[in-house]
Amino acid sequence: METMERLAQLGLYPTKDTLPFWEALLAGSLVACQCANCGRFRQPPSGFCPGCQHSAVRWQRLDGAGTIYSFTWARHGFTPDLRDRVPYAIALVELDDAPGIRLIANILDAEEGQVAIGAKVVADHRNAADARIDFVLSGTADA
Amino acid sequence: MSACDDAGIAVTDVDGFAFYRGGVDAGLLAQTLGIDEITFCASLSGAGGGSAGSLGLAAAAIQSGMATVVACPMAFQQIGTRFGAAYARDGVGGGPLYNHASPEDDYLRPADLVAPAQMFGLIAQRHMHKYGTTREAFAEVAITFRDNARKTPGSLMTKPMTREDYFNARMISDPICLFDCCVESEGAGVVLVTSLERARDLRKTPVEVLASVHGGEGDWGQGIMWLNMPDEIFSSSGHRGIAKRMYERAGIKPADVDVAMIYDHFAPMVLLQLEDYGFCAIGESNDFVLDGNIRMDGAIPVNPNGGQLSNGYLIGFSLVTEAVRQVRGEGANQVAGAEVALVTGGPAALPVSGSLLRAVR
Ligand SMILES: [Zn+2]
Repeated sequence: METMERLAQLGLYPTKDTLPFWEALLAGSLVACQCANCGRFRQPPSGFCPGCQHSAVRWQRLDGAGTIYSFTWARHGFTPDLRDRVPYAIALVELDDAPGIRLIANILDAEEGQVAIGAKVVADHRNAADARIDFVLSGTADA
Repeated sequence: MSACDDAGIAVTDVDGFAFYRGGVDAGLLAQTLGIDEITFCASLSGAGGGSAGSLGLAAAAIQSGMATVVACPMAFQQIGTRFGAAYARDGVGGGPLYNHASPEDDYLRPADLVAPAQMFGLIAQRHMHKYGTTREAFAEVAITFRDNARKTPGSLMTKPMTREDYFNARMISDPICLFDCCVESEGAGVVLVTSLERARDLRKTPVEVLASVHGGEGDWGQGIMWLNMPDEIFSSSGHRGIAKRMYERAGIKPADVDVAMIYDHFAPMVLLQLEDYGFCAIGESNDFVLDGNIRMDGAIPVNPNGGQLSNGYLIGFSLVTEAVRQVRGEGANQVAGAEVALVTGGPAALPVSGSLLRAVR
């Protein structure tokens, strides 16, 4: 219950299907929702597999390594609280341990030009208590 | 009222309404207009994706006999947080598309992904990476539509735009700059749908709904709010499935279309729809556009009224009304000899929609 309250403070309202993800995130780790029948990953987590229509789930713990699938630099502060934050990098990150899904994340500590499609990244949990989904660069983009 | 005058139909003859994106309150309309009895009232789910699809609901009602004259009205007024920050959690009760209770939307927040411009930036960036698409092509879209808007009375953006102006504009969310974004505005529009038999007796050239389809592929799903679409369709507009179905139902090909009203909330998405609607091959819209094909004298003139980038943004409906004008030959910036028009709904969460209209002369 404390977890739900903490998440609600952050504007997050999980269900039983998504709660394990957020619990893991707050504790400083990433997990992915996987079909226990066919092995397909799905994001966001849900109680139903779109591949085989089974409802059994297993949670795969991820080591946090991934690759940038696409990205954008948010430069316009659309809301008052984001005006102090821009520019920041938003990326879709594909995970080595959970092929087929992407997380919507920020890339921290990156210079312009370093964030690129294909760049290797790794999860960073310095802001775990705020349920942020962050990564940092761990290598350069494949040519 | 002016739509009824235009058609020569008494407003009290309207017995049906078809909407999208929540629509307009049908009870309020009926009591305000003094309509005896409403026999059909339906709305497409979703948001701007359905803008070209309410015509299809109306046509279905006419064909099934559920109604005789269906009005498709759209009115748009902006209150509180604007559409640009549609998915933000602050502002007056959150942005207009902010869903407090959706566990799926939770995944947008931990990265401060709040704006459609950012979401479409992610899609456009992938398209550039995959196919070598350039900002030069986005500039061509923005400049072409600005030129068209300047020839259309009532356009909001009428200052000439040069290539230099475009590249000097500030970046909003890479690769989307200020001039890639539509001009948020307010307004209203309405289209009346009735049987072809009845339409022939009315004041204006009847316009036939050749096909009006909506829906889309499950692999596109919530699209920009999901961002987990398979790679094959990630850098698309989400319209490929409905485009194919629309042409099949109409029995025509892309080459038969004379003018295209393409939903342009963001310039890059015009390129992706040109691909999905078959005007060029997948991945080839960059060169197609840079070859001048979407200009007034090109292979497929697009948005002769200046579109939502420069004429005004009515969540797609100004494109529908302009499609009707163009096939009637009444456009302020008219495509010569236009008989068949395509109009598309927004590349958005499903349902997306597309319609083909043809003048009956
Ligand atoms: Zn499965």
